[in-house]
Amino acid sequence: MKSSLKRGKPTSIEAQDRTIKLMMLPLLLTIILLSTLPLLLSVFAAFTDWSAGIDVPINFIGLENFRYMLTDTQFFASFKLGLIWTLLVTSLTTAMGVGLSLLLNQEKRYMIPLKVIALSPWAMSPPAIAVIWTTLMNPNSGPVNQFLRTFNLPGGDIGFLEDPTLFFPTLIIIGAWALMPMITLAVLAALKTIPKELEESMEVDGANAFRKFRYLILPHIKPILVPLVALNLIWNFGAFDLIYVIVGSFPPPNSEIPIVFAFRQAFKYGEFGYASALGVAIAVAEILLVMAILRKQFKAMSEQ
Amino acid sequence: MSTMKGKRFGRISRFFIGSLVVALTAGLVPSQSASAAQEIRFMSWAWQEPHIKLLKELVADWNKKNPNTQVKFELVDEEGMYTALSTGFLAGTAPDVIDTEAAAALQYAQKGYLYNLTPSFRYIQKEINPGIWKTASSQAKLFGVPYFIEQYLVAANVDLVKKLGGTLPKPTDKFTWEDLRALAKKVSTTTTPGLGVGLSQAAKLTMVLGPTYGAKYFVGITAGSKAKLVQGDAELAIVKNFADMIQIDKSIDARYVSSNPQTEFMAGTLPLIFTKNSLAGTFDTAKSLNYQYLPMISGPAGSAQAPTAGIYAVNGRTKQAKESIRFVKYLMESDNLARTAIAIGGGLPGTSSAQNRVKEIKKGDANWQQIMSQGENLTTAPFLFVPQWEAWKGSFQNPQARLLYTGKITLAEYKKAITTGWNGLR
Amino acid sequence: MKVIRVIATIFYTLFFAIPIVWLLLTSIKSEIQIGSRDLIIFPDNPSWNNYEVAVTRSGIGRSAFNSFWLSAVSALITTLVTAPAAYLVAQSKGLLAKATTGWILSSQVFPSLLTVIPLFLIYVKIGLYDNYIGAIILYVIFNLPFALWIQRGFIRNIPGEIIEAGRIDGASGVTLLRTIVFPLLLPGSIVVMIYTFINCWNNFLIAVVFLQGNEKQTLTTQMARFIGTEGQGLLGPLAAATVLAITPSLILFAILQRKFSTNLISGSVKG
Repeated sequence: MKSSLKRGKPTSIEAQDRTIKLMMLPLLLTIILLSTLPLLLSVFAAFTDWSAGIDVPINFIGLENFRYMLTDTQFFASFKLGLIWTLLVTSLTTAMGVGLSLLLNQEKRYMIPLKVIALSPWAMSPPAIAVIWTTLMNPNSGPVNQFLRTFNLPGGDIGFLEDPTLFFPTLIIIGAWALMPMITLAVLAALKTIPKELEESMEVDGANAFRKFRYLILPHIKPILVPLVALNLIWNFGAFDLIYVIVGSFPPPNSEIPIVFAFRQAFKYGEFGYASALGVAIAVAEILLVMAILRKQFKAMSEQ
Repeated sequence: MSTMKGKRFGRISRFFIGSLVVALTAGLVPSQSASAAQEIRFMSWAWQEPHIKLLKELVADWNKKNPNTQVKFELVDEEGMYTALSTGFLAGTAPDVIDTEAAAALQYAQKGYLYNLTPSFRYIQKEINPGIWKTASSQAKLFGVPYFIEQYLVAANVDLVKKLGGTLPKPTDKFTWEDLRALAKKVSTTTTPGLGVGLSQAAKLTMVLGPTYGAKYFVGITAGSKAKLVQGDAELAIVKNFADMIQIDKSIDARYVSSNPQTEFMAGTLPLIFTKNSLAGTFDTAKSLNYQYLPMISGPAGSAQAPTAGIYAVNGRTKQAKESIRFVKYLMESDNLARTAIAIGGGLPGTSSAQNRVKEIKKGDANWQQIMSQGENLTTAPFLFVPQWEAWKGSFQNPQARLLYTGKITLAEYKKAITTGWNGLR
Repeated sequence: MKVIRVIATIFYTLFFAIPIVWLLLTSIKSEIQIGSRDLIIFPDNPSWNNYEVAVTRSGIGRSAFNSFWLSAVSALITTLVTAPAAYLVAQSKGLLAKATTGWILSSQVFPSLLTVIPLFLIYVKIGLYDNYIGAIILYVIFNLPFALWIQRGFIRNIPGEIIEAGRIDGASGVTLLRTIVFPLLLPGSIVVMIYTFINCWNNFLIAVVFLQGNEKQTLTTQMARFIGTEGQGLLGPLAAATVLAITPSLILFAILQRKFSTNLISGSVKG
């Protein structure tokens, strides 16, 4: 370490940073070209009739895409579905995730297997999750139906992912399974920051579990929980991969959430302009959603 | 800096750097040096195992016989096919030959991405049903050669129907919607329905069989403007038939809105099933099942159906147009086509000579003979040329029909809901 | 209270374990047992046949190789650029820090699909479409915001004097990176590297849009293709392929989780 330092050319602090800045310049340019520019372009595209085809001209059409969006019953249906999906899956994963992390926080040895298995869906790809759950819910050979059959319970041939009325609830359960680890992990980290003495002193005072949760644990995890819920709302509203893969291989009707709807407009029908407008609308909806929850935190975060 | 962390980092980074080296040597370097042979990319969305196996065989045979034109077979799922084509035609990465269906390829044909095959395949035009030829054409240009057609037929469990006192029509009999209703009612019991039909996505069936009632569904189809929806008595007749059979006759059970009757039919507990003619191969696997395909359903306007067709299309910008067409011609040879239809498990091969070939191969099998004899009962229908149909079907036609079948809405409400839905589409 | 705890533990264990255990069991069952309508939990004579079929038929072998090296290279590049970038951002109090925060936030808020549409057309124009290098650049760009977020969390915990001490010695920028920035940010770098690797390994959107060639498919897109085609009739091999696909990322995740999960989350979520 020392020897390498001696070999270095002595330069001023500013010069050192300048060298690093220079080295980082290509990265900055790449980010501008492939992250910032596309974002601006897509906002611009939202006001055009850009579509696939040979020598199709691109026309600026003002607010036409957004005007059409207001009359697009399909989009509204998917938007409604997306909102329901987001709210249900976020509240379910949050409630279950907090519960799970309270369990795991006991730091008992026998909890380790549960911890390992309950966090593992985080590291699985959407197609893998799709295979796992379609195997489980298969109307003929899935264990759920086999179980019902074995004990002569009602059902036994239920197409959980095929039945239009059961599809959505099933999707929520899959979502809870796949998306809970993130919340569990974060809440678990927050729980670790609670001083042991505080917990013990409350136990000495004879506080019951509910009071302990309400007056000690909740205030402690709240600073993490609020932005976490906000982030999850955004992520779940834009949860493209998981739903696209499940819906794509087993397509029940009326199952597109807005982001999948927008993807198909672009990459199935070649309607790039309209798809961009949909993307902008989704982003605006997400921002509004987050602003509503995070007014204070958002301010604090952007000031950092 | 603790040395322990340093060591761990060293291990992990060695792992990554090692893989980088592997990548550079094996991944980035093209695996095969460019050879003189032309390459044709053939993309298929086949999903039945025997069908995939056959396509691989056909490709292997071709490659053996044509060392200078090597075909590369690519299997892709339905969603992946759309993405591959929609991005591929723009980016120049689309495959040369595409195995898909006419309805799915229409949007690409309309955008001018597909090769005009009319001149190259005029030689078999006489062998292909004119309705189907039209279904695979856009602005009088054939954008895909029809190789496979699925019709809807009623299949009967012969023993069970007999046991329940039903009489099956003979293969040459006229079999009307009223006959079906009467037969289904006859073989229904208090515990099991007489007829099974997959009602969760039945819109396609009602559209394909629409011509039996002379149903139009859409009028005024011109490029660039939206067609007008018609929902008169003829268009609503089939939906009404099913609803009446569920609610009045009790010969169809509303559970088929969610569960597939196919397993019940194969298990031998369901007397009749209304299904595709491409399931013969599947039904044949149920050894104890003695089944029979009934004659095609006829209505006041005849018995012709308007299905979409499986097609082989050629990329309009392919660099190997000549060889690609030659490869499609090879796939369309009667023997190969007959084998394809058999591998899929039923359905009609695209040309009449291939249909005759299947009859020869499946000599003595009444069901296959029955399927092959329907080659003339085909027509085309407007919905096949309405790009918005698929979206409308998914968002309105199917969900609203399910509400109708389960008795949650009336026929008038169904009509109103799907019409409003259509008017809201662009 | 204890009763509730026991019931909850059982519930969570079953909820998370059954799907995974069933997948493992399915992958070693015979076709007949998988197709059975009766509940068969344990296979009579477990076999690896499904794994053989999966490797030979589904095309996951080659696609797993693609996924592996693409993820490894992307993870390495992301790690190498994140450390200096995070260092610069930490040094800066002005525009750069604000712009970075803005970029990180916007990358979370705007759906990635929004940028994917124009990116597709840009890539077609500049010839990076259906190209490994093009895909790697996107993997890096898409992972960079969160990687920076993680590294920022780590860099905050390093006392400023340590960095200052290294600087006064008077070294070149490169030496500064090698002797101060990278070693100090080592724990964060490991997290970034593993995290990015798992993310790329599991990425679907970039692969499905930007890699079209049959031989360029990644594990995720090839699996989606397999599910929709041959896999429909081959549930056993499908399960086997899935087991193979999730194993590497699960192992890496276990490392990540054991050593760094607390740091990762407190660093990132608290900001």
